[in-house]
Amino acid sequence: MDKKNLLEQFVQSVAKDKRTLEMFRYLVNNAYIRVVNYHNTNDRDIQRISREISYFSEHFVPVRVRDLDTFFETGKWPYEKPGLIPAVFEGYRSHFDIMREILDRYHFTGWFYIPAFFSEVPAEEQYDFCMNHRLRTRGEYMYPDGRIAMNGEEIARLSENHEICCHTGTHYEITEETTDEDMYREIVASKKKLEEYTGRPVDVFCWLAGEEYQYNKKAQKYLRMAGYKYVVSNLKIEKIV
Amino acid sequence: MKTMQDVLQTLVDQDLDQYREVIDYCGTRVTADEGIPAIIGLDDLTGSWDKTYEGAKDDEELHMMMAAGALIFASLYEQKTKEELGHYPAIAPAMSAVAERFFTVDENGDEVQYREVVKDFLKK
Repeated sequence: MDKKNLLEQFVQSVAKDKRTLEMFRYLVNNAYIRVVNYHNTNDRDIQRISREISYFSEHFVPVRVRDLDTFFETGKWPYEKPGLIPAVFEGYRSHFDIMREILDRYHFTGWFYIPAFFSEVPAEEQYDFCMNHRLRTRGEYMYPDGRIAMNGEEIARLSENHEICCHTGTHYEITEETTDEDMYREIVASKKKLEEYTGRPVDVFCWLAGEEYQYNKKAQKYLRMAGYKYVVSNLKIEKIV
Repeated sequence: MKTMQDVLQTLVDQDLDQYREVIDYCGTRVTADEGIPAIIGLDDLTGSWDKTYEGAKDDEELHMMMAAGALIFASLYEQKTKEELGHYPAIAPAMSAVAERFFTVDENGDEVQYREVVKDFLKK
């Protein structure tokens, strides 16, 4: 392909979706953050995860919600090193037993995205709950008692050094067709449940499938009613109040 | 400090095969079990759209390269089929590829790929 055609193809492809240029703008404008996403944190991966978190602690600073508050208030990242968020998804018990221990060892902060009502499912039903709610756990790493989710006490202890973020109530995909009752349960009641456990405000909500704030006008009402400060999607963290 | 002119020059100079290799590598990762890096934007919906920000000093040399890289990766992912992309827009895997390719810089100012962090644990 000659240079003219290559350039034409390039321009067409980056202009095809406005989100591409939006992300370009965030990067040019220094308004971005690194995340490393984790789901299963099993015994067999302890060495690898330890290596990663150790590296993060040397080259980056951990991020608290208050650091984002400062960034948006002052327009300046408050540290010389960039921030990095280990984003740990789904509220698995192994996150408490394995990931928390590693993060605490290196004094690094994790953001734990927890479906709030997963913890209330009886242990013997949790595997089926995972299968029915798109939670990608692996049967071969089951605990003997069958409990897969963190319980309320573990979530409370986790919140002492880490950010607890709401990942809906039941790992539920909220769409424009979702009823008001379901929206309330998955956005508002779920936040209250996590706050009951932790005794601290839960400021961050994360969609399933990573949609951004603007995509669901109806959900905005419930996000505001609940009192979240930030909404996390695949591409961005949005400050909404 | 890199300028927009540097970014544009980067776009012209890049060897796309290096970017394709990163995309191929990213496609081999097991997202359920591995730490998957990404870069995400920070947006203040309560503030004015044209607010400018000052980033971390250690990222001064890197963020413009990331910006150029995001466009290149996005253009390459756009060439994939809908089936290959799933329900994600091309820029989503592109931002993960950016994090993989430009994770940080070493003491000499050279870019460090994320796989260097976990090289002892990569599947052969």
